[in-house]
This record gives sequence, structure tokens and C-alpha cells, in this order.
Amino acid sequence: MKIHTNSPHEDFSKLHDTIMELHVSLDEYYNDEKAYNTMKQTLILDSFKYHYVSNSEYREFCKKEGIGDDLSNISLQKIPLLPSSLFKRQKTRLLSVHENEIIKHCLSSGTLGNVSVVPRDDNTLSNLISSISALFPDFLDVERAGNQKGFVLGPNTEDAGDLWFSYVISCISLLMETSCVEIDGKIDFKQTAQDIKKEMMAGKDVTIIGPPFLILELCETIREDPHWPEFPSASHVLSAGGWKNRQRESINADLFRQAVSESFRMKNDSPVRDMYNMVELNSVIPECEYHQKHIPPWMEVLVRNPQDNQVLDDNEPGIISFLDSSSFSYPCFILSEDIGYVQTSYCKCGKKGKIVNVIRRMNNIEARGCALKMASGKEQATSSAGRFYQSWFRNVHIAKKEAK
Amino acid sequence: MEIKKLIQKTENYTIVKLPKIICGEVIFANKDTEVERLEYDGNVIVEIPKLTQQDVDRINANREKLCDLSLGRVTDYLINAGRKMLEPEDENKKAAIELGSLVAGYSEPMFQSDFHIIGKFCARRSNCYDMLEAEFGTHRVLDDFVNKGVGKIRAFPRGRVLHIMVGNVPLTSMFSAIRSILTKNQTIMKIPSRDPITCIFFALNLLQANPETHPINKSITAFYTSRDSDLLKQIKESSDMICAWGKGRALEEIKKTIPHSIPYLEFGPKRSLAIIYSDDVHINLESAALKMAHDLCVYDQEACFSPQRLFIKGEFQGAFLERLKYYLDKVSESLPKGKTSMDAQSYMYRIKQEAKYRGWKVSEGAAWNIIECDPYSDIEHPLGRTLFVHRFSELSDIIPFVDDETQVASVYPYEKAQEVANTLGRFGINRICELGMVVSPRAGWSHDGMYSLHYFVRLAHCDQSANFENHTWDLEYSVKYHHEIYGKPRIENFGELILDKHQYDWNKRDL
Repeated sequence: MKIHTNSPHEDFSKLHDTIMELHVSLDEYYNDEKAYNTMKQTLILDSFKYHYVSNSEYREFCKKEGIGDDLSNISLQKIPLLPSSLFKRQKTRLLSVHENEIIKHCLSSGTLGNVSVVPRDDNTLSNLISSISALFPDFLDVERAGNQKGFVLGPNTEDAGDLWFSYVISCISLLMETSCVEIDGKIDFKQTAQDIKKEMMAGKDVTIIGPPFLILELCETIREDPHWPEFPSASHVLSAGGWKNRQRESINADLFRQAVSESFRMKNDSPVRDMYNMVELNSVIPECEYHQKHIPPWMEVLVRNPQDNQVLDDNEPGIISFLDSSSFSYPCFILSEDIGYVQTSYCKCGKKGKIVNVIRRMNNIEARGCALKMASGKEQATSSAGRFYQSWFRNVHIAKKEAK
Repeated sequence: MEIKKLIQKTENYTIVKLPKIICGEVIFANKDTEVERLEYDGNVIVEIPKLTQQDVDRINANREKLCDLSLGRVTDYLINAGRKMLEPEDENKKAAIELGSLVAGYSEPMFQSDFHIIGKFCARRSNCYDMLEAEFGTHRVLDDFVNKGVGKIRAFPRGRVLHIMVGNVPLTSMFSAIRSILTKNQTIMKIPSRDPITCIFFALNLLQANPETHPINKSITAFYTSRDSDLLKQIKESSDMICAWGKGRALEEIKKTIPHSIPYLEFGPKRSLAIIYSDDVHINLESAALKMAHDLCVYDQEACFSPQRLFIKGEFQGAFLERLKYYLDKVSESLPKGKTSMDAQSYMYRIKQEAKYRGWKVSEGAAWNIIECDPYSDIEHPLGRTLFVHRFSELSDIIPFVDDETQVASVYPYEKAQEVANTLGRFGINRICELGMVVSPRAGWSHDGMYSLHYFVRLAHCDQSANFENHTWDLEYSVKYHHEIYGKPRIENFGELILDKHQYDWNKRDL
């Protein structure tokens, strides 16, 4: 088989190096729109070609989508997307590397049912870690190993195990001395507030990271302290991971920032930032001080019309899709479950390139009527697998598997 | 009710102004009224006056009993409503259909079909009587004490029934209300945000079709309020029975808030399937394909009785699917697919992409999808007229896909229905019907495995006397029985006392 890729990284061995080098000079690309776009285009097309060559299942899928072996004229818009739900299917093969190269099977929290399992090899994982090390200092303007103390409202990297969200937020420990305050699944908010206050009183800057509902719980504790100090200038509160199964407690982003900035006694809400990530994506999308989520130069975000999959213009809401060149172990060309829109307009922070605005998570079918969904989620398996009447729907297959 | 009076068009929005109905009084918003605003796709807003504390007090103060109203008068009330619904030019029905389609998203023919089904049901008295006969054994039990065993029973209404409605199948909310009216209860409807139109217009139809002073009119209430509202909590606590429809999580939340001693009837989410024997001697592929197409299209597959999977046996699967595609196009012309949200469209697109990646055969029409795959494949169903097709060779192959959350197995040819019932019934299935009949259950059907009218009534039992003799009880036995259970007392004339046949002069009693 001869596949024409026309790639500057024909043997693909340099792709990883290019991405790692890019992390070191991120600033240059965020300041130069032309360089940003060229780099993005090159990396993503190379990544696509790499996966097309390396992953026979993905290649077959591409062929069904009308892409033959001549890849020399492929555009980003034409790259076939994998629905994120595919990562929830146990028997579906998504690997672009050999099984024994996988070093971590990363798991989603499974808020909406089944758990996603995303296989990552060394290169893929190191790209993520390196990107966090590059993006956080750039967006938060903090010196690596500076006068910073980090607080993770989650477990440490070791305890996080394969749970992706916990793993990602614990990566802040790469940048600063960090305490992970969740122990045995519990957080002592009073103690955490005291520890944060102590660091602030000692003249340190702090960075607190966690899911929004835990940040709000911490805020409640902080508000009880009438002597809470002013928030230091280079400090941040970073939310990530969304509201998960506490959706009913969710508040909109403006109200969230207001609640957090008031509780922490900030001068304004710019230190409150949200970071976007999902287990199927190999990058974190950070928010600038003007609360805009800037797409890194190794990624593309295209918003699509759900009826015909056509790419929509700026500001038109649709389904968000991601093309992330930083993954080697699986094609990270993902059709997400989020609804939003993109903008390429100028941001006051000065960064060039695309901005993504996530409006909400897609409603699942149970929001529509009384038809019970055909295949059950893990949640249903645990709640009803023990009942007298059982079926494949009630995930007897999953229950049995877990028992083994 | 003229539709133009209910709709206000602004530059950007279409605003539908609905009334609330409190104890039979139709209340529209005025300039001082606070309204609930519900937003829908296509810049449509529904405004409905907020439920107030005064409304709740009024509902709670209404203690007018309907138990002495004869069943004849109750069914007259429903007949009047049914006949009005069947009038082709009825303004109220026309408004309900047009607004229902605008707000809830189903096509107008879908609403038209539901109003026809309910109108026909109500307009023919025998339908109500047949339902009562099936569920209670006799309709008379609602009017009087009737013999039952060694005594008599009468079905008294529970009193005030709160219906927490669902909007995916318009006729369910109407049918829920019919159940409580027929059993002489007060009918309090918490209308669903998905379809606030049907409940309100059904209630209006009842009121308009009957004399203003009809005692049932005062028992009709319909309002919108949020699930968490304190006013709804008050109504729940003052209801004598609660009937809730909806998604699993919503029902769980409702259940947590219901005080003890209040009977609770829930109609939760279910799934359904179809079974076709394509090589059976009785098979008529054209008929099967038309019927399958209808069952797939009604309510755009959002009903619990909508088949999500088709299990097909025999060598004519390919031929059948070709005819099915033809009839899906035909039925989609007569029952057009409703408005589809971005979420639903996206869900559909994702599932089709996933199916392609996994190598399944996907056939797509303008308003339907057929996906042929292994039944054990783990996948979420996107609804929206999508049929997953699986081959089977033995009926037992289907057992793993059945449990007590399976509502309907629709079967073709019907000659196989009893075999399906015998085999799958014991694994939890609730209803077996002929293909094409999912939306039209025959008289006597049990809804989700129950005769639910029993929840709406209190069966009072009037025992027979100890002196009443029948095939298991005579006077001699009565004396022996009572002597034993009284602890064998040493009373000389015990038998006479028990049978109340002793001689006793009250005036000569020993004080």
C-alpha cells in the first residue's frame, strides 16, 4: 500500500519534537497570527496523516467518509471525527500504537453513564504534561517554582490513579509546591481554608484548583472568617471539570466568578479562571484574564452544524469538535458533547488565534420523554443490577465484568 | 378559544399566553399578574400566570365530594368533552393542535391524531364502562356497594389527585386526567414544561363542553410551577393520591418528597421492541412494513411504547427492510417528523458516525435511520425514528434484552403473539401486542403491568354479618369458630349470644 502524505515529517518521528519545541516558544505563536495558523495547520495535518497510516480502523473509517490514500490535499475541515462516545465502547479499537506501548488508560468520571477509557502512550502523556507546564505560566503569568503555593481540591497524582480529571488538576504540582487536600475521598474545608490563609499571611501567592462545586464549598467556609486577608496579586482560583453530577447546584460563569472573587476578597474577578478539558482531549484549554479560552497552536476547534456536519462561522452555535495534534496513541479528532461557538476576534489580552466559548453540555435522550435509553450506564448497573428481573440492559455484562 | 387572542408576536419572539385553571376558573394574566415564562426553540415563549398561595388555599379549601355523582353523569361529562374534541371546526381543538405543534415540536398531524384518539375514547360511553369492568370487575362498584365475597365493596374516590404530567406523549396527560375524573376525584394537573398546551386545552375543553355549574368543573385545576416550588410541596402534602409521569431521575426526586400514607402511582421510563418472523406462513411483508413504520414514527419514538429495536427472523430480512424504508417515507409524509433540537440532531449524527466506525450498515432516510448491528453492541439510542435491527434464530435469543422495564413487544405475524407472551412474559415484559398497535391498546390492557384505576380509589368493604350463611359458613360453624377465638369461655348460652338469639329483657337487667 502506498499512501501519499506529502508531510514535512514524513516519518513522523519529528512530530513529537516539534510539539515539544512549540511548548517552549508558545508566546511567539500567540503573538503572531500567521505563525500560529501555519503551525496549527502543519501539525494537525501531520497528525492526521500519522494516524491514517498507523491506525487501520481509523483508516477504514476515513475511507467510508470518502478519504482515499492520497492525503496531499486534505483540509482540516475534512478530517473525519470520532464521537467522544466511541471511547466508552469496550470492544472498539482506537489505537494508533501497539497495545504494549500504552502506559495509562485514562478514565472519565462517567457523570452521564458509561466511563470513557482513553489509551495514552509515553509521547502522548508527555505532550500533555509539557503543555501544562508551558500554558499555565503563560496564561497565569506565574514563574515556575516561584513564590507560589498550590492547593488542589482533589487527590495527589498517585491517588488520582487513572481518573483523568484528578490527574490533570494534580499536574499543577509540576509548577509549584502543591498540597492535594483530598484524603480518602474527603476534603476538610476548614483546614484547607486555614492552610491557604496561612500561606497568604506569610506573603506567598496561592493557586487553588478544583471543580466549581468544591470551590464554592471552600468559599462558604472562607466567608465564615471575618479576618480573611486580601487576595495576593499573583494568585488564582482555577475551576475545571464542570459541575458533573451536581448540575442542579450549577450557577452561570458570571455568578460563579462573583461568588469566588467576593469570598476570596479579590480586587476583581480576573484571578478566577476556568480551564477546559475532557478525557478524550490531550490538551487543556486555558482562560486568559478576560475569561476567554484561547486555543493552543497545536489544536483546532471547529464548530459544526449537527444536521450536516458543516463547519459553522464564528459566533454561530453548534457542536464543538477538536483536532488535537498532541496525541500519538489514538486519533484525537473528537466530536465533543458540548455546544458552543468560536471567535477569531481580537482579545484584550493580546493573544492571537481562536477562542472557544462553551455554552453547555448536550442533553441526552432521557431529557426527551419516557423512552428509557437502550443501553444502560454504569450508574444504572449499580442501582438495578441486583433486582430480580435482569437483562443485558441492566448491564449484567458490566456487573459480571466488575465482579471478576 | 380563539388562537389569535392567545398569541402575541413581537419582533423577535412569538409569545403564547396561556391561562391557569384553578377549581374550574380560567384565569388569564392581567398587567399586574406575575407570569411563568417558558422558552422553546424557534424563539417561542409561553407565559402562564404563576401559581399563588391564594390558588393553593383555594384548591385545598375545595372539599366538595363527587362520590355521589352517578357514573352516568360522570361519563356524560366526558362524552360532552369527547364530542367537542371530535368536531372538525372546534376552535379550542384547533388552537391546541396549532399551539401544541409550535411549542412542543411534534407535527400538527401528531397532535390531531391524539385529540382524535382521546375524543373517540371519551365520546363513546362504553369505553369508560369497559375500562371499569376490566379493572374492577364491574362498573357498578363506583356508584354503590356490590357483592364481593362475603361482603360488599364500593370504590370511593381517594379525593384530590395530583397529576405530575409529562409532555412527550400528548395523550398521556389527557388519559391521566380521564382516569381521575372517571373515578370521581378532584383532578389537579401540574402541567409539563415540554408541552404545557395539551393539559390546559384539555381542561378548557372539559369546562367549555359542559354546563358551567357542573360539579366536576370545580374539581378541575391545571397550572405550571417548578418541581422544587414550595407551593407544589403544599399541594403534594394536601393531595390524597399522586400520579406522576416522567424520567427516572425526576420520579426519584418526586418520590422523596411525598409524605407517607399518600398513595403514589408512577409511570416511569420504559423501552420497547418489535419482533418479526419474516418467513412465517402468515407473513405479509407489505403489511408488516407499514405497521412497523407506523410504530417507529409515532411521537418521533419518544414514547415508552416506541420500539427501539427490531428482532427479525428468517431469510426475508433484506426484502422486509426495503419495504420498511418505502413505508417509512410514506408514513413520514402523513405523520411528519416534528422539530428536532440541536441536541437531538447532534446525538443522531454522533450515533451514525459511531455506527460507521464500528462497521455497521446504516440506511438513512430524510426522517428515519435503520442501523443493522449485533444486539449486544453497547450503544446509546438516539431516538428520532431510528431502528436498530438484529437477526435472531430462536425466541430465547431475545430474552437477554427483556426485563420488567420493557413495556411492549409488538409481534408480527400476530399468530406468534401467544408464544412470545409465554416466553418473554416471565422475564418481565409488560405488554404483547400486534405490530402497528403500540399506540392503540385494546380494552382490558394493563398499563405498565397494573390496573392503575385501583390507585385512584379506596375500596371500602362492608362485611356480612356473623349470621350470614354460605357454602363455607353456617350458624353451627359460626358458634364453634367464635367459641374457639374467644378463648373457649364458660358461658352457657354462648351460641345464642353470638348469634344474637338469646332472650333478654333490657328492663330487668341487673344493675
